[in-house]
Amino acid sequence: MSHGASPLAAFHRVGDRSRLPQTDLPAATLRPALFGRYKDLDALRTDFPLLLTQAPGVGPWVISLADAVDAMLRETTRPGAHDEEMRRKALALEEAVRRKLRQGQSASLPQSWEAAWRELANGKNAPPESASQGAPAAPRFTGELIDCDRGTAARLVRRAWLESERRKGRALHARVQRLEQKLADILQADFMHSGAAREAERLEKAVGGTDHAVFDFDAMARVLSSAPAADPLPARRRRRIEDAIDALQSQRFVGPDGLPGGSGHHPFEFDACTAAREAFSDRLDDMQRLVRAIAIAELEADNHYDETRHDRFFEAFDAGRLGPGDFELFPSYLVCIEELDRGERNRVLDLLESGLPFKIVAQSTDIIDYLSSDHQQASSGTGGQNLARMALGLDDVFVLQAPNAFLYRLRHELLQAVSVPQPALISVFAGTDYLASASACESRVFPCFAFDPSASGGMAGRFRLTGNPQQEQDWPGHGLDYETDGHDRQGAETAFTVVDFAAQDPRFASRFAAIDADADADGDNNLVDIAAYLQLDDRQRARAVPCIMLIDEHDRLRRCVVDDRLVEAATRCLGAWRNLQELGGIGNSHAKAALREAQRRWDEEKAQLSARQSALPAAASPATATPASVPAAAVPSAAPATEEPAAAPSSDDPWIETIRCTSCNECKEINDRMFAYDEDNRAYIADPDAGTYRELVQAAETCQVAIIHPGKPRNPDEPGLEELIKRAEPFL
Amino acid sequence: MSESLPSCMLDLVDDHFTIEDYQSSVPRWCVGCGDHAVLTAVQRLCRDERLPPEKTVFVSGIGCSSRFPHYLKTYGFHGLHGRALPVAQGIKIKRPDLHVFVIMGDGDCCSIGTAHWIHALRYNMNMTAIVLDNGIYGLTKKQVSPTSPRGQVSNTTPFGSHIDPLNPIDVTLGVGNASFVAQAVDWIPDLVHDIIQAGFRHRGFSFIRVLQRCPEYMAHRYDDWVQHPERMLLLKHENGLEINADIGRIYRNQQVHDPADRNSAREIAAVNDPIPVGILYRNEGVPCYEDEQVADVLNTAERVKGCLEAEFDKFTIEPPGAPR
Repeated sequence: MSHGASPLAAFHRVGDRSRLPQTDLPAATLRPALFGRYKDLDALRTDFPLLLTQAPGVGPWVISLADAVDAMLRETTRPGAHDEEMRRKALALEEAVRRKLRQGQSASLPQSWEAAWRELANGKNAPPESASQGAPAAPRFTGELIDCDRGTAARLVRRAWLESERRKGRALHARVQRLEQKLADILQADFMHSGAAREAERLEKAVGGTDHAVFDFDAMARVLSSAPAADPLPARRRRRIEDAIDALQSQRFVGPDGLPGGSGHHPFEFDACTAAREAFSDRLDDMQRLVRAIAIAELEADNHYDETRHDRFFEAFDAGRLGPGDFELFPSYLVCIEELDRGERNRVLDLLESGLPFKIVAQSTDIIDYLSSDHQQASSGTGGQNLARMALGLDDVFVLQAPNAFLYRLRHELLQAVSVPQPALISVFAGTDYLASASACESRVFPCFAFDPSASGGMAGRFRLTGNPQQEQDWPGHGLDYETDGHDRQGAETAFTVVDFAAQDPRFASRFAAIDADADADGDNNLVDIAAYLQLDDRQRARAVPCIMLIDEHDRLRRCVVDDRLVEAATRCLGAWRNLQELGGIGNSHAKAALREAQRRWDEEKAQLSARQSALPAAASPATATPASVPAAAVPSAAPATEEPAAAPSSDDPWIETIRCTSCNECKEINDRMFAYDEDNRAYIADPDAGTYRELVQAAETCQVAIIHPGKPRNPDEPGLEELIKRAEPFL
Repeated sequence: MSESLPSCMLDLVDDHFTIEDYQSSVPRWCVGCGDHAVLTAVQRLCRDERLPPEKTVFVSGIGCSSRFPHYLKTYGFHGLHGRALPVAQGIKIKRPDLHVFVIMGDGDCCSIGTAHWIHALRYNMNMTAIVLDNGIYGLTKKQVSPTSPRGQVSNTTPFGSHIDPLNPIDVTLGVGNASFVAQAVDWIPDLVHDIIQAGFRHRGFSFIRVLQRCPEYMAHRYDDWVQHPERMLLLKHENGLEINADIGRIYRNQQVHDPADRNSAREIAAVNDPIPVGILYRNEGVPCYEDEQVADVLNTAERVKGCLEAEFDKFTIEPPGAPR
């Protein structure tokens, strides 16, 4: 089969390299062409390094070094040329700090800033004592600097988790302390009522030392003891209060700073699912004991504890009765998995399915490993991208997916993930460096998204496709400028795809065949860019060979033919990306189908109208035949028939529009047996015969909101009826 | 999973109250005064929300309406003119477990107490503030108030007032931190109750203006609206007020208004005829001051003593020649 095809097509379809033109370059040394502009990452102001600020609850919990330097410059320099030198120095310092961190010299921000300045100043042969002169101010944030590496995600999430847990922990600790105090007060009050509190020695202590000589405390004790002592606390109640105090004092969940895992307290950070699950189960009894003690203490503090009702409830209260609302009181469990494998993936899903407050960071370092296997396998890998999608199906789990390079821009979602009461999965990809991580998102292999099960507004409110470049497109496109052999400037629009992502990885070198730039000068092979190739149908693909643009170590542009397996991977990746787009409201197939249906009905209606119009006499105005302007829109249902007023009582009987009564007492002042108030303090006629018609008419006249209707006289013998009936007319 | 424990406890402690449990002495307001309707609505609210009288505080300033706490069998504080809000804030910060209501008149809130009003909105502490706005100083026998209509003849303006009144709802909507703004009228008492209930359930500072009749000094100001229900505009929304069928039959002029829409709220507030009634604006997202100011340590007797000792030590008088 390969003999009939061109050598390039033969490589693409069956991997036959034998007839390929010999090139001087193995594909393993090539990089995606778009990486050309990111050769020196240290000189670029990326999100990294990040600064994890020291004290939780004060200022931002994380800030990028670039943002911190910008904030410092805004505060300390004025716009214009005057401070330009200071700005340049600060940016140079920032670059130096970044470079040193990449070389593995980790430090906190003020120290590395100072060290970098000394180095820069010394480089100019400045004397050491003048080193601090002219230095730009250090950014006002202090804390640990971290770069984009395999430890980034765990450290970042841990910091966010501490930020969120601190507030919750402090609230719990304050509540426990307050209840402890209240219960102790009850015991103290009981003691003060007892005989022991009235003993001379006790009284002496109570009065203090100043007036010691003028008091006879024995006499005072004798006088006081003659008064009967109050009843002591019942023994059951005392025991209950003491038990509750004991449970409150011995809790090991949070300390005064609110941060979980202090010394002597339960740890809440784990590196494997099994350990976290076991820890949770082991602490159930402790949690039940504390929740029970809090509930009893709240009741006792308000003097609402009723033994006949509450004893039964609390006797039956065991760990099985704890619900999500109770678990919210306690710190959540942070599980950081450094390298996700298939076994751990299943355990993660089990843990998330439990609905318990586990916050799991699952990190993958290889998301296209399936491409390296020689045999075709059904799986598309064990990478975290599948785990996050599976977790979406659990419906009650906060899911956040992002490569570690993008976590800073998704920091609000990150904080939300660790703050919500539901379990959370933070699926992270960590590449070999910043560029490798970022390109996983760029190539749609590991897109960013967040799913918040507690948000309202259906899927549109809960699912956010956020942080992805050009997310309306299949692949993000970028301009690529290069110089030809003839030193002409050329520009091309090229997409960054999963194939470009795979090209960074030497394991897949055999799937690329580098060719000379002019290898297809005559166009015989019909080389097509991979993004365009994926748009072709099978018939067109048979005549084309897909390729991508790569650069060698001297930044020379090369083209590479890719094999069929990579095309297959790109197709699958695109399918998964389009599914995500639909979830995020981009190119929704249901909306498209509804639009097509609306279009069809519109066309039908138009056809029917024009048919009817042609059947009409020629005099009919064509303007009248215009169809409805919005054919697909649902016709608003006719306004509901006006409701009939409630049947008013017969005008012969007196009545009151009770619902409008303003409780102003006027009618009751006239006759409080005839007029009375209902359970909502609104007037009604309690007994129309308890007074005269004159009183009814008088009440109707004085009512401020005119809601009393006197009806017809009930006693025909009442004097002056004729005049009264006339006066009553406006109120009938 | 079972229900959470706190919700179980709520069911177990069943406190049932009647309106009588909240009634104190017979109100001494004029017969026909709109204050009666608001008092009844508030008493109904206390009953319906099962507020323990010992956990409920009504704070007022000075004026006819400020006699309110006297007529409720709860805790109360009848304070200084215009200063009801700072007192209420003090209560709330020290005792966040209490349900705090603030009752003010139009002079109390919008004249002498204006500074406190604006800052109370900014602090957004969880309490329900009700302004009983009759547009006149009644207790001191008829002087103009900030909300008196232009041309109002009174003891201080014998030839009629010369300036347009202030619209408290408009002002409130202009404060960035405002989180609940509503308007009611005393002659639709069911809605007074429903609106105050919504305000009470809102976590934050609820500002409710109740337009009310003063039978003594502004006897006919609202007659046209009382007698012509179509001149009232009821605001309804699934996230706001639901109008029951009985009220809906009488007041047919209704408009759907989303309380999240601040701009639309401003447009509605600017209209005086028809009079809008309902929840104009609500934002659950504004943080409460008391939540942001959680004390790090408990004020125990030992701590208070320690602080006092430290203060006193600053004034220690050393004997002459003693080492310092």
